[in-house]
Amino acid sequence: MEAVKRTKKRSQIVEVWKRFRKNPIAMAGLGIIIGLFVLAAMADIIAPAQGLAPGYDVQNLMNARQFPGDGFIFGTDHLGRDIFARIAHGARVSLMVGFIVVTISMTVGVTLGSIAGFYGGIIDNVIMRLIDIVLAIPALLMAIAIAAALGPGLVNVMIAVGLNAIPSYARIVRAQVLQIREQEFVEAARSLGANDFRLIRKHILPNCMAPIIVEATMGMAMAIAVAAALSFIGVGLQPPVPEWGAMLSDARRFMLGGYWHMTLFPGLAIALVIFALNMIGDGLRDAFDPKLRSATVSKKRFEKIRRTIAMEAAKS
Amino acid sequence: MIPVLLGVIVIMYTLIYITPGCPVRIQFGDAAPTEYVEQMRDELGLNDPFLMQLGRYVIGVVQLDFGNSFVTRRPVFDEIAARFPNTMQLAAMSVVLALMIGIPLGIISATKQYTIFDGGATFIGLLGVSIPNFWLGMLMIIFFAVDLRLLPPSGFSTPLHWIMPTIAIGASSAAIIMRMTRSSMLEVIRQDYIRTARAKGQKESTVIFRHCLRNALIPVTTVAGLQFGVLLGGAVLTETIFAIPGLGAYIVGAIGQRDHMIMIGGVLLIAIAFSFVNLAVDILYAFIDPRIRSQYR
Repeated sequence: MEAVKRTKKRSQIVEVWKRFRKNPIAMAGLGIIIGLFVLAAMADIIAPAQGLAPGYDVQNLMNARQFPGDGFIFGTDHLGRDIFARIAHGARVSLMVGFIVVTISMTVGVTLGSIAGFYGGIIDNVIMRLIDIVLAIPALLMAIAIAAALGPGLVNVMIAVGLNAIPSYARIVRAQVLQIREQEFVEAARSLGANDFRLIRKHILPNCMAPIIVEATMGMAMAIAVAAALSFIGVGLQPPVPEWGAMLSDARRFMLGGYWHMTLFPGLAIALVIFALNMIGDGLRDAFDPKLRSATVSKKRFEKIRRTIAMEAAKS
Repeated sequence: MIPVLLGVIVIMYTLIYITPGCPVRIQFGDAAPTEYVEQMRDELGLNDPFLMQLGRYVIGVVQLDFGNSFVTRRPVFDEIAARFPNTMQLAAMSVVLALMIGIPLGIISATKQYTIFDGGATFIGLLGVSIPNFWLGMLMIIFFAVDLRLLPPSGFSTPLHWIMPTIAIGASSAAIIMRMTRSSMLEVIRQDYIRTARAKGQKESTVIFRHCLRNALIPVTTVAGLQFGVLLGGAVLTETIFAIPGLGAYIVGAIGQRDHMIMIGGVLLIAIAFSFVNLAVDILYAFIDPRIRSQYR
């Protein structure tokens, strides 16, 4: 019995990975994210080699606003700092913000959602009304207001972004829990004497992991975007922290002077991360639930399906 | 809706209350004499206890009095009414643009599934949701306003000024609507009644537009309504970049100046507008879907 259960459990993850691996778009996204992690990890090694050593915060007004080329592959900003070096170090900040925000908001959101869904009644009502209230406030304005209230800084930015992300997890988990708690295996576990905590943690939550994981992937993209927006407005991370949104904020002042490289590259970095995470999210959704396939089927498989259909049509 | 709005007031007021920085100090600078600042604070009611301030505000709102701006001393309602139409217009134009691009692309990509069109449209859709709208706006300013000198870089006075901001915030909505249209069409296209329609020899265009699209449009309507709400509050950055005198940019400015009354009044108005949009979407369902219409007869 035990052995059967274990092999089945392992095979689901393997199955999902097998399907995920066949999706070229999703794999490309995974590749981009891994590449960015490498860039972030090696930022200290790469960055000095590119700009004027050491690191990303060396100001040199002689080199201010250089266009790409000549030792600076992405050019320099208004203080003569190498934009490539700042993007590489900015990857650290953004990926870290994305990860921590997702971890915390997912934990809180999943807890709230499963409590609301499992117990129902007045607890459910209170939690869901609170979430309705948070959702009624435009997310970006709410984040800006929270960031302004807490003051600038990395931790405060994460709180401002994270609070906004909680409702979506709570809603998804609640909807899932409402379905699953009525099923027989939950009843069976309850009759065997499992308490509420064990029921939720061991029996219900594992069955709603798929939408949570997909939401977390997309949520990380969202978190990075909102954090960049906060820095852009000036309530997020403050200079001289190399943050992509803050770099765009600097670039904005020189936009009309035609210094396109200051705008192009930091924004490209933001777009690339979000793009890659969305690709992974789409791929995961398809891999978890083959019925909902929305990605492209490989040409070979499509031909096979087409032929089968044609053959069946010819037969009948 | 009323409990939600009350909750919005409480959350926003609490946030404002804990925000450091005195509005009077920010307005008059550190050089202003302390007695004067204290007198102003008394006048604005800033020295009262939290619950008293909150209660006074709620009672005011019930009487449709949203207070006065700390900075201009004019009624919040007038200040907001002067800017809200711009935001509303921008959001409306963007949603229309998004529907005009998103629905046809979604239909093409669903009816030609697994072809190069589908792949291209899916890729563009994914790209559209990934590009930050403020960056897209900046790139457009650099290209169309600075390099080509075709369009004005800022302002919102003539139709020529509307083009770039509308595209900048409409792009992501178009992508979301395209993705929704596509998946919704794909679901409907496999239904039995579509096969029936084809089997009885209906023209393909009739099958797609009359049988398929009408059924697929319901989730698309929901998403379009949601997007409209998102754009009302999310136009902040676009308004800032294009220097559009809209509500979002005004609220952000008010946060910087600690103009509490504008912050809370503006957010409240967006929340109200959002719930009216949702109501409008519910009514729209009845027009699109005869099944829903018949339920209420």
